[in-house]
Amino acid sequence: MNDWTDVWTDTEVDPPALDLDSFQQQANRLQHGVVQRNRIEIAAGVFVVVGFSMGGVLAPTPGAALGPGLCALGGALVTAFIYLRGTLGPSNADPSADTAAYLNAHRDELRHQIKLMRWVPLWYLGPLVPGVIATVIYDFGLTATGAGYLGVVAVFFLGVTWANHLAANKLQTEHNALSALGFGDEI
Amino acid sequence: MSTLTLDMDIAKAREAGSPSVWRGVFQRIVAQYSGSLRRTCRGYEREAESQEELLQEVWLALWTALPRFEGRSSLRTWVYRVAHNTAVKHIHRQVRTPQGAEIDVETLGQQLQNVEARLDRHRARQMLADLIRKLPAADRQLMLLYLEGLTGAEIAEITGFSPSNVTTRLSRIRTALGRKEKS
Repeated sequence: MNDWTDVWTDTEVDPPALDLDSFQQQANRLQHGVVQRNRIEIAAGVFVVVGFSMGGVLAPTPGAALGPGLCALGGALVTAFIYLRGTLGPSNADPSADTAAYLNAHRDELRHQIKLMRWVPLWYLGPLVPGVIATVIYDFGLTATGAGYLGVVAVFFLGVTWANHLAANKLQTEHNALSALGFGDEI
Repeated sequence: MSTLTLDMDIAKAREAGSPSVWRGVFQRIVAQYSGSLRRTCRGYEREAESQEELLQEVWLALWTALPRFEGRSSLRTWVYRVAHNTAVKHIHRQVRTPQGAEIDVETLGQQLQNVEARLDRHRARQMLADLIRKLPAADRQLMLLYLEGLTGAEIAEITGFSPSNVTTRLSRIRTALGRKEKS
């Protein structure tokens, strides 16, 4: 009868020659990529806020300033939310934790992202709605054209909501697959 | 090369904080664990190329995590934690696409008994690796750690399973491999 531990470990392996500079470059690239993505997201938010603020300041009447002002405020709220509870970033799961804890940390991160995506209408689109409505009503009044513009915006917002819903479903599948690996379960 | 001196070198590297010292420590970890980590990757990936890819991922994860090693666990359990976490994450990406049928530890044992007399050592090892890869992720990890000679306490520390859970699972594994229970 084989002693399977001997069979398994009975292999001669020469230590590989590893290029540590290349490893360091890869690690730096990963970190740099995350920082860049976060910067772009925040910069886009700041751009929106500044743009609408300028529109509000340069508006000829207080009524004309209301819509852009509300959009700037909504944009600021969204940007602050992204900054404080951002969806992007390196995984916080400690790779040297035990496997059950490591996978739990991944599941927690996924749950956080899923929650954010499911609530996109509230925290991402919601703050922009008052500004959009105020702008359209000021420009077109309660007319068919105004309603048409609002309809287009509504369809766009629904599309964003649907895309996030699909992305959340994908993450939910990933979450379920992690759970199915069987770590953390007592037998 | 003893684990003790390596642990001391890590303590020195932490104090010095110099990249060149960390490089030296890492090279020694590579020399000490390259065999076992290559076998670990063999337990997760079938094709040689995929094994090599996973091994590179593991080395990268170890290199990136090394400066954060605080010595709260032994270096040995730390290395296996990082390696298996990287490997489990790696196979998790594949779990999303359907894989071949899984087997349980008992089935693995039966299959080993059926074939072992007919196989030379090299083919026996291949057969064992093929069967290990069919185990569910948690059993696969336990089996690989057991075959590398880690103790039940170390395995519990690496997997996060309770010691009693590990004891039960290891008992099944020992039976499957035709080994007598330790008293």
